[in-house]
Amino acid sequence: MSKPSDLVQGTLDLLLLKILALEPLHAWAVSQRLKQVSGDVLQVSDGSLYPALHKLEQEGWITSEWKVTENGRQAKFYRLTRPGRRALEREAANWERLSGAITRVVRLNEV
Amino acid sequence: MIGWRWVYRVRLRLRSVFLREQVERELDEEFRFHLEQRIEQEIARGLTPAQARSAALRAMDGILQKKEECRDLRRVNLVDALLQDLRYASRSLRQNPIFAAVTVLTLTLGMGATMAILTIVNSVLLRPLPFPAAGRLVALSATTETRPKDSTSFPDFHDWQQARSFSGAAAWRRDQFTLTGGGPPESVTGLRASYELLRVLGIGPAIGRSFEQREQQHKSPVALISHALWMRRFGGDAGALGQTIVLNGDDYAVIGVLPRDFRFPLTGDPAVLVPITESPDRSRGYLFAIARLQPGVRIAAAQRELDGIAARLQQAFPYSNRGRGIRAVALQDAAAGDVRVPLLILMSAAVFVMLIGCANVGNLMLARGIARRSEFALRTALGAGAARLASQLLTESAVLATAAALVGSASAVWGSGLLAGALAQRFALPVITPDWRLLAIGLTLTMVCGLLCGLPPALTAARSRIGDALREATRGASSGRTDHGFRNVLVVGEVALTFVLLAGAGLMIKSLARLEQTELGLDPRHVVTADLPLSKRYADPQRRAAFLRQILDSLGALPGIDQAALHTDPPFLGGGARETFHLENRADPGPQQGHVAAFDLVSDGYFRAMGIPLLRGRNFDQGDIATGVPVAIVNAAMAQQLWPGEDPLGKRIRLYYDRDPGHWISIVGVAADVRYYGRDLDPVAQVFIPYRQDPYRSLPYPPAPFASLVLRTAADPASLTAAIPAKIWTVDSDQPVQHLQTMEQALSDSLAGRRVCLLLLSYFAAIALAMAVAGIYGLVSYSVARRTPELGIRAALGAGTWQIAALVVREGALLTSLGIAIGVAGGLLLTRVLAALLYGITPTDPVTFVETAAFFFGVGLIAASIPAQRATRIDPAVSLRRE
Repeated sequence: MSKPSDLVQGTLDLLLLKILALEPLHAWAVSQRLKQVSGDVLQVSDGSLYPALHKLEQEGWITSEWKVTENGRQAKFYRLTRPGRRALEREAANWERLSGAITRVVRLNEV
Repeated sequence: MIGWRWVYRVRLRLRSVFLREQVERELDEEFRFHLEQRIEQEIARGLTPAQARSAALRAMDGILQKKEECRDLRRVNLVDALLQDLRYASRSLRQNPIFAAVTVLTLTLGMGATMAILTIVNSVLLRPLPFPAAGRLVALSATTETRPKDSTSFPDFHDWQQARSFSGAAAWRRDQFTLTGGGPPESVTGLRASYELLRVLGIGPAIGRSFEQREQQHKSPVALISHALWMRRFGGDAGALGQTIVLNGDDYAVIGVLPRDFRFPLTGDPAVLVPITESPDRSRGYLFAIARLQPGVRIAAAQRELDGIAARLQQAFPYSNRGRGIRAVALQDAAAGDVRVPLLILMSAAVFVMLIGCANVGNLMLARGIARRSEFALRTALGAGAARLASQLLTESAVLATAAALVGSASAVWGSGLLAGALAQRFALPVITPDWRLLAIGLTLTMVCGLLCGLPPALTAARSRIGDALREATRGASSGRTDHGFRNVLVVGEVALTFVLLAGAGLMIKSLARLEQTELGLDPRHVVTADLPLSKRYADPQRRAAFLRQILDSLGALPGIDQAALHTDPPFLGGGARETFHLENRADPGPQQGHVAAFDLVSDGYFRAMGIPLLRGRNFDQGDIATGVPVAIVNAAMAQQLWPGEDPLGKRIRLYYDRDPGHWISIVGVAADVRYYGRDLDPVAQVFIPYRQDPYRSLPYPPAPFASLVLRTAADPASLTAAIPAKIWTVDSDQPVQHLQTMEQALSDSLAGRRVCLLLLSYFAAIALAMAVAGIYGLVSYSVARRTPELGIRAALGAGTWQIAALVVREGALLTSLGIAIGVAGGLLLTRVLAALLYGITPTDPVTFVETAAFFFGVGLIAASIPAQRATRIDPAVSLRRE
């Protein structure tokens, strides 16, 4: 599966889980939300979003149902499942640890 | 906790498999929704709809690939691909129904035959006998120089019993009884056995008791009856115990009922079990034995001990036991008996047919694979992976194999019944039941075979390089050498296997022909025989003689009967009452040590009725009365054996156990030798005595009275079968009449076992031949198609019809002769197993091998000449234009 190169392995999953943790969304809305919150820093091609979402679904972390959007169209809404919420907590904690460690390394003063 | 996650996952998987179309639709829908949203957004930014659309598509980063990635995530592609392959396979097989039919038929024939025989092998040879620790049961029989299995005497049996290898041994003898009283007379199979029998087998009667040693010694008329007879005659009433049944005119008290499922493995289902008589004459062989090995003793150890016993007996009793050995065989194998070797041979034949079938199917598939090479090349060019192509081909063969397996199992169940029926004409078989485990194995085996057949083309497809394949496919020129080489190997193998089967069938046909041509020594045409077991009412010799005289007179008066006669030793049954005697004016060999011959008590017309020529001396006549001078006629074999170079006429012999010291019997004639016990057995010493002069009258233990009718008819013997018993019953309405048949029938029956084996082997050989011919034909045809351009060039350059035909035929001839050469080598090794079924011919008979090879070669040439003929009709102009 092709992944955006500037995203660290596994972080896309974390981002998607987090976004869906806030509210159930359809994929298009997820892509808009991603762009919006990351201030266009995290560029995920529209296409790449789908394999990522489907993978989370296959893992049983998110589930989907068809619902009507605000402008009256049918769309597939994804929402976090209970195992997904635990996965998010785990992934988030991992990320905190990892990014904290990396930050500390990066900030080391050069002699 | 993990549970929840799995609920989601499993639901999705199931959806992917079973709601595949809906899932696909949703995927499309999701993507379309996304695209529309994006297009709207781009239009809002000021792009034209067309620009917006292409921007949206660009942003998707390859929409088809992304969709495929999503599909991949479903992880059910394997199943998907399989379904796709199945659809593809059924489509491509429907396009070529003949190929499919031939493949399924070929596999079915091989599979059905093998499974049918395996079913019988399983029931006969593998399934344990229904007795406790049945593996420790052995069958004991005597052996002689000429016979691998012979009956033994009671004293010998008593000595066998002393072997320490056995925890017990019992004597038995099969007998036919006529059951009378309480219904119409019926002929039933019975067992005479020693009192140990049930204990050795490890079972007891269902009700009542078995008989005891004391009852056996005192010839008490007691009987155990089978469960079936108990139900039939007594309605399953326990009150049957103590009641009387009449066997061969004598009363027997019922003392027990055998268990419902009791079968004596060596005789089938006995209806009655009665004590065996104890005859002290060592030369009178009339029984066989079974024994139970001590725990931990192996059959080979028991055999060694028995060999020792046999050697001691030979030494102690050089006349009665000369050349006599003892053989112990696992009861299971003995129960399989004569059918064991034929079954194993037939099973090998069936396996051969299956292998040949597999080779043929493999060849067909290869040919088909090669024909479809351009299709595969194209598909490879369009992106199909090698593995994908291979799996498609394998699926195709799996579909064929499944079809063949299903049809094959059905035909195996049907065929095993048919085969068992054919074999049961001659061999005693246990109940044949299909074993589902076996069928499951067969199913699996067929699948594996089918898949293996599909493997070579699949591998070829997987290996093939696009460029080569396309080039070849478009040019139609000579294809890969390796495929062709492999196909050659398959055909050569087929030819070799077929040759072995043909040679085996040829050997058996010749044996049978030789057997049917053996000089019998008598004239079997227009002769009817029947057995008359005599009841105790005729124990008195004078009364018996009067009764038999009456029967002969009344039968002789029957229109259409030329000569009525009787004797005591029915032919072709392998029986024979052997008696010990000694010669006048020769050193007395001592007690128990005399000469041994088969004794037959005959009426005056016997030799005429049988058509046995008298070589010397005179026939019996009215003057040979009970009180007259005891006389005998001996056969040429006996005269040669006892009085070589002397005149046997006037010599006198005396039975060893005769209590009358003056009872010397004078030889008055010599009869021609008769193959009395079977066409395949050499004549043995025989003594004929007028039944009126009962030679057993002063023996302490005379043989049971018995009479067998021999009627030479003027009319068709079959027309008299109703009149004969009716006539006998006018003399005594209770007289049992058994085995009424023509002598030609009896002779034919004595060869039935060989005939059945020959028939089945020929059947397999014929199938094999057809397949091998098809293989040769197919390969040469293919070769012609492949070489069409080359042959066209040759024709254009002036090659004649004959030269082109020769070129093609040579290929077929080469393959056939190579196959035959390998087949000859294999046959020389393998036909040895046939030895037991052959007569008058060695298993490696060169004439048969040469004839078979010539025949097969001829057939191979014919198979190759059909495509050769096609080759000669190749029009150079057409074939070269195709280039």
